[in-house]
Parts: sequence; C-alpha cells; structure tokens
Amino acid sequence: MGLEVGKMRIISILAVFAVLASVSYAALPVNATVTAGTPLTLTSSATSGTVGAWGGNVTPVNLVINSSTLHWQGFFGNITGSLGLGYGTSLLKKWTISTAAGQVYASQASVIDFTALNSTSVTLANMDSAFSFLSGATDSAANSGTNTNNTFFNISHYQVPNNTRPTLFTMNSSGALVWETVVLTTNASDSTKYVFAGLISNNGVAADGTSADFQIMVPEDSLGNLAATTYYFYGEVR
Amino acid sequence: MAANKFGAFVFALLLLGMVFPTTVIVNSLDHKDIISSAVYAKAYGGNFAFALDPKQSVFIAGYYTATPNEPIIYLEGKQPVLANMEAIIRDAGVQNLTVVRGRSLQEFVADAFPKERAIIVGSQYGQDALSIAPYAALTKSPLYFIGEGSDAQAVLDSIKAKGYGSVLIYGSVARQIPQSLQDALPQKKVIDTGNRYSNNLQAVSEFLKVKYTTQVMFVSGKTFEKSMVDTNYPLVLAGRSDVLSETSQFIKDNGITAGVVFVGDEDIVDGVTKLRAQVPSLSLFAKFGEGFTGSKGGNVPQPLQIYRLPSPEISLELINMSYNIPLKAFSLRVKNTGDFAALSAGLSVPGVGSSDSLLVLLDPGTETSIAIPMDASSAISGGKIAQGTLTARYGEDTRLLDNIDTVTYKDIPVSDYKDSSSVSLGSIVYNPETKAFEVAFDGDGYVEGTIRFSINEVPVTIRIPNSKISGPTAVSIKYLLSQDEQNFIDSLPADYSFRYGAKPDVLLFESRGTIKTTIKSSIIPSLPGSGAENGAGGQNDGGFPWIIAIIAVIIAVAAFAFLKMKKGGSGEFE
Repeated sequence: MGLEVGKMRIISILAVFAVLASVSYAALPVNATVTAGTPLTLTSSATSGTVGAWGGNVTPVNLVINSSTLHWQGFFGNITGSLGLGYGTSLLKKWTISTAAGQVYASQASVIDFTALNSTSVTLANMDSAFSFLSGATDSAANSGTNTNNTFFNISHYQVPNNTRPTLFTMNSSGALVWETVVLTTNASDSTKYVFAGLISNNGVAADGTSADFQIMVPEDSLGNLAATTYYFYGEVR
Repeated sequence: MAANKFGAFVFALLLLGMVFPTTVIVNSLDHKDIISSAVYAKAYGGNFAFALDPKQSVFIAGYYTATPNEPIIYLEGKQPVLANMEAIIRDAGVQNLTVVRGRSLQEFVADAFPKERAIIVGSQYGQDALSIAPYAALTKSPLYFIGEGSDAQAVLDSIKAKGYGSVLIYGSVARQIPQSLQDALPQKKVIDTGNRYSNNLQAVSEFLKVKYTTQVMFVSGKTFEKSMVDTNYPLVLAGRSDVLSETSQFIKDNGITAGVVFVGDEDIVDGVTKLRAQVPSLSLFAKFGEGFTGSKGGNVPQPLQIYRLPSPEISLELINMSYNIPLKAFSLRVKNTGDFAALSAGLSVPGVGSSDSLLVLLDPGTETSIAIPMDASSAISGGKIAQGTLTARYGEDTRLLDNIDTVTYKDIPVSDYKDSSSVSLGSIVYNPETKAFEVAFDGDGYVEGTIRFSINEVPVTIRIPNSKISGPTAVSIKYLLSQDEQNFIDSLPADYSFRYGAKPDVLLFESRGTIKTTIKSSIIPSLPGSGAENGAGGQNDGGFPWIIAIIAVIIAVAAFAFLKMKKGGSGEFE
C-alpha cells in the first residue's frame, strides 16, 4: 500500500527540496506504510532491483533517487478539528478561528511572544546561522526559499507587509507549490525564537492528498543531532 | 554541606545546559509533584515533560533520551504513572542522568532553590498552586502545600528550619493556618482576598513587578499543560462564562495586549470571549498542538497533554419551576449535583417582567426550592403560565457565578401552597470563647442564608446553615477571627439575606437588610436569643444580657440569703 502510494505521488512535502535543488541527499529507508496521523516519509521513486557486477567490466547504471532531507520536517493538519474544546470525545465549545484566513504558528518556544513577532527583521541567511546544521548544507534555508516573497497578513493587530519576510513554499499532492511558510522571529540569532507561520488555506490539499488547513515546514536536524525538537502550534482566535 | 553539594550540582547542570538543554521528566500522578517540578524546570530554563498514562511515559522516555549526552533529571513521585520508567531511561544510555525518587519532590525542589522566599498554597485543589506557579518559577521560590492530610505545623517547621527570608501565603489556605503559626514566619505576606480570581490578579501583579510583559496566558486553573508554567508570562484565571470586572480593568491598566489560551483547557471560551468584548484591543492566540520531530518527513501535530487538576466540581440540576399564587413568586426546584455552589436565578416572563432570586448557597447533594419574587398573576391562563425564561448563574465563588445556564420553561404550573412560617433576625454576635458567630432568630420555621461584611477590605461571607427556628433561637456558626479582626468587626455593618419557610427544603420567603455585628463580652453568659437586635436598628447593643446578668445576680444573692436564714433556723443544711 505504502509503495503504491509512493509510486503515484511524491507524498513528502520535503521532496520539494529534491525538486527545487535537484540534488540527491542521503537517503534513509523508505516505503513506509501510510495511515492517517502517522509520520510520512519520502517514498522511493525507483523500484528495488539488482545490477550484476563483473570484474574487469564497467557497467553503466543510471539511478534516479528522490531522498528525504535530514534538515527539515513538515507538519500539516486541520486546524478546525484541532481546536475543539471539551471533555474526552464530547465536544463542548470551539475557539472561533477562521478557516478561510489566518495563520498557524509553529515554534520551539513553548510560548510565543506574539506582541513582538512582526518587529524583528530576518533573512534566510540569519536562519542558517541560527540553525547551524543548515549552514552550508545543500538544502540550507538560503537554498530553499526566498527572502522577501511573503503574502501580506496580520498577526492580530500587527501587520506583516507583503514581500518583507523570508518565505518557503511546499507542495500539495499534485506537486504545486501552494503552501506558504513565512519565517518570523523575535531574535534572529536564537533558533528557539523562530516562528514559522503557515498561511491557512481553507480546504487545501496536503502533500499526502488529504484535506488540510495548513502545511508548514520547519528546520530539524535529523543527521547530526538526534535530540528531540518539539514544535508547538498556535492559531489566532478571531 | 549537603545543600552546598546540591548547589554545585545544580550549577554544573546549568553549565551543561548551556551546551545541551536539560530536560526535567516527572513521573507522578500527584498534581503537587507535577506543578512543583514544572516550577523547578522552568526556573532553570529547562525543558519539562510529564505523562498522563503509561503509554505516554514510554514515549517520553524514548523521545527525550534520543541524544545520550543531553542532561536528564528524572523525578519520580510516590505515585508514579509508570513504575519502570527510570529503567527505560537508563536503558537509553543517558550519560547525564540524575534520578530523584524515594523522597518528597517538593522538598527536592525546595533544596534546589535559594532560600529567599517560600510560598505556601493549599493542597486540596490545584488552582492556587497553578495560579502562583509562574511567579514561583520566576523568583525561584518553592511551593509548600498545606491542606487536608498534611501537617501544617510540620510544613511550617520545615520552612523555618530552612531559614527563608520571607514567606508568601497564597489563597484561602491562609485561613486554615492558625494565626500563632503564621506570626512565627519571617516577613510574612498574605494574598487572600476571599476570591481566587482576585487573588490571581494580585499574583499577576507580583509577577509584573519582577518582569513586565504585555502578554499573558488565560487558563481555567482546573487543568495543567506543561507550558502553563513559564517565567516570561503570568497566568490569568478566567471563569467558564464570565470574568471579574477587576480582570478586564487589570488587563487594560497593565497594558496587556495579547493572551494565549490552551485548547483542551477547561471550558473558558465564553469567559475569555466576554473579556475580549470588554477589552477589544486584546489579541488572542490558541495553543493547540505539539509537533514531535524525528520522523524525517511530514507529521501531524498531536493534541496538547492536558492534566486535570483536582478542582471543585460545579454541577447543578434544575428540576422544575412553578408559580406560587399566594406568595406571588416563582418557586424553582434545584439540586446541587456537584461540590458546594452559590446560585442566583433570574426569570423573565413575557408581558410581566423579570426578577432575580437571592444568592443561595448549596451544599453538595442539596435539593431545595428557591423563590423568584414576581407578581405574574396576570400571566396565568388556563391554570398555567405560558412561558418563562430562566437564567441560572452559579459557581464555586459568591463573587463570580461563572456558569450560566438558560432554560425556557413552557406551561409553568401554578400552586396554591400556603406557608404560614415567620422568622425574623435578632442579632449577630461574635463569641471569642466559642470562636463562633451567634445569630439570634425568632419566630417559627426553617431558615438559611448568608451574612456578608468586609474585614480590612477582604470580603467575608458567613453562611447560615439550614436551621429550625422555634421561638428565640441562636444559630452558632464557627469562624476563626484573630484579635485584630475581632476588634475590627465590632459594630461593623453586615449585609444579611436569608430564606425561610415551613419546610426545610421549601424556603420561599426572603428577608434581607443590614445589621451591625458585635463582640460578646467574655463575662456575659451566653443565652439563646439574647442580645436580640432589630435588623432595622432598634435596641442598644448588648443591653438585654446586662439586665439578665443583673437579675441573675439578684436572684443568686436572694437565694443565698434565704438559705443562710434557713440554715440558721434549723441548724441543718442539706
């Protein structure tokens, strides 16, 4: 099932790096079984096979491999479903959050300082420095996005003008770069102060083909540092 | 010596934390352990993790130990969530592992903190501890819990032995600690306004004095999420359907412009929405998920881990409503299906008007009828009243009835039930010997109600329990007052309101007014109904007992003289 899905679609949102940068990167085992709520990893586009090697001969082999990045992690989901408030399974109340607009914010900070979020300028180079594992990597932040390409949006009363913040785009299941992640921070040199704002898209389609309100990408070092990095998610209450 | 070693240990961890963040993992079902550990972790800038069930414990034990050289402090309470969690963490090969178990985690935290300030909170519920926790973390002040099942003397002795510079007593626990014990504490400060929401605002004020911020977190105080304890943001308590007017004023006065709420926290949507209506400039953000990394691909954020703190359960059943023709009042039958609750009911009848009941205090399990006075005779048609919309406001606190239920009754039945009871209030006297208020009633029937006054601007509500009145009857209500407070309340105006009726659970008559509280002199004997003072202010304070005393002395002298004479006459005395 997982392999079949992998053949049909490039399901990982992180495959964008393979497409954008046209590079191969260290691949980890793929062919994960995909079920709702479980992590998705890039599925190999090549079927498994063997090539015979004979001494004294040179055998040309052409391989095309799309690999998982080890520097980024994607998150996607449905914000309206997440914001139900209640006891156990019985839903009592919902925070009224617009499904047609707004942002989802993800950060390593357990509580984001929203009052200062639009007042600090930042570049993708700053981000590469703050997340040192990105610096010099083929899939660094600087190689993965554009410094001033964001859509205009508000963080409550505070405006973020268009084309003022670094922006990263990720794909839906059709391969279209439709999901916008805007890079914000309250301290450009501190990785824990970075906030990744995913612009909500009502009835959007995530990389795995499911319906989603947001899809976002965040730095995560799975290569050098296996330490857990937890991202916390916020929405704005309207 | 041990403390010095521990200080060096903490310092070493801090140095280590500059390279790797220290993660504090607590394995305990006890809310006191969880909150104390969160205070400890956040005070030193570490990560904090706890689990709600064994499955989560296993996940945490693996997730936070993926890098062996990342420091872990493992705290195990006396009631762990997962018994072998330590073994799982050890098996992960953690190189910098500190294990604390087999001792009080609260004492461990106290030992780790400087001895500048200790904070005493009640242990029964988690609201007060959570409310003050960000301030505790910010100032590195350990929490000491006092409550049912804990020895206040032992806790206070421990605090004194550690030599703290000052002690803050936070919340209603201040009224449970004898004054003599409190007075022995160094630089004692008390935050106890009689209302947990007002207490909370004072706690936030203390936080802002140390660290000013324009962002806060709004919580119910009934649940816990790991980032609720933070040295950057204080917690503001919000009610289910409402907030204190002081809260919105506080938000404005302190320039608070943003707030964070937690999805899965108790139902405070309406309360916070109401607050924002009063403070339109307030931005609101909801924390809704936790994204775990390491999967190398796409992932779905998980719901927040919400721990349910022990807290009072507020639950009310509205049984039925009828209209009492002789009394010209609606009779609402209610049952308190939760913990203690205060209730006020308002009714609106089309074409007639609207009215409110008295504030009624209900013990757990209590079923009673309360009156909503209104002449709705004109609305009676065919032996019924077509419709009435009832709004019941109730809560654990008389000042914040933050639960609101609205019910529309149709075809309300009418009743001819006649009640011939009559009860009047005489006086309210505090007896220092019995440490109780003696409330003198007269008449015939059953009564219950409240007496309210303020001691040094702290609102106090004394409850008159459901009592049978038959002629002059004194109802005694235990209440501990210090000498200063006794002096303060002498001749202090008190607002009273009570309900009465012929049946103990049908109290449809009301009486309310103002009366002065007095102090009973220790040389005056206590008599039922003595010292009765008219609620409207009629007789002199304490006049009647003096007359009784004088008569008693005269009778005693006369009796003594009579016996003396008798003894002299017969030569015998038996």
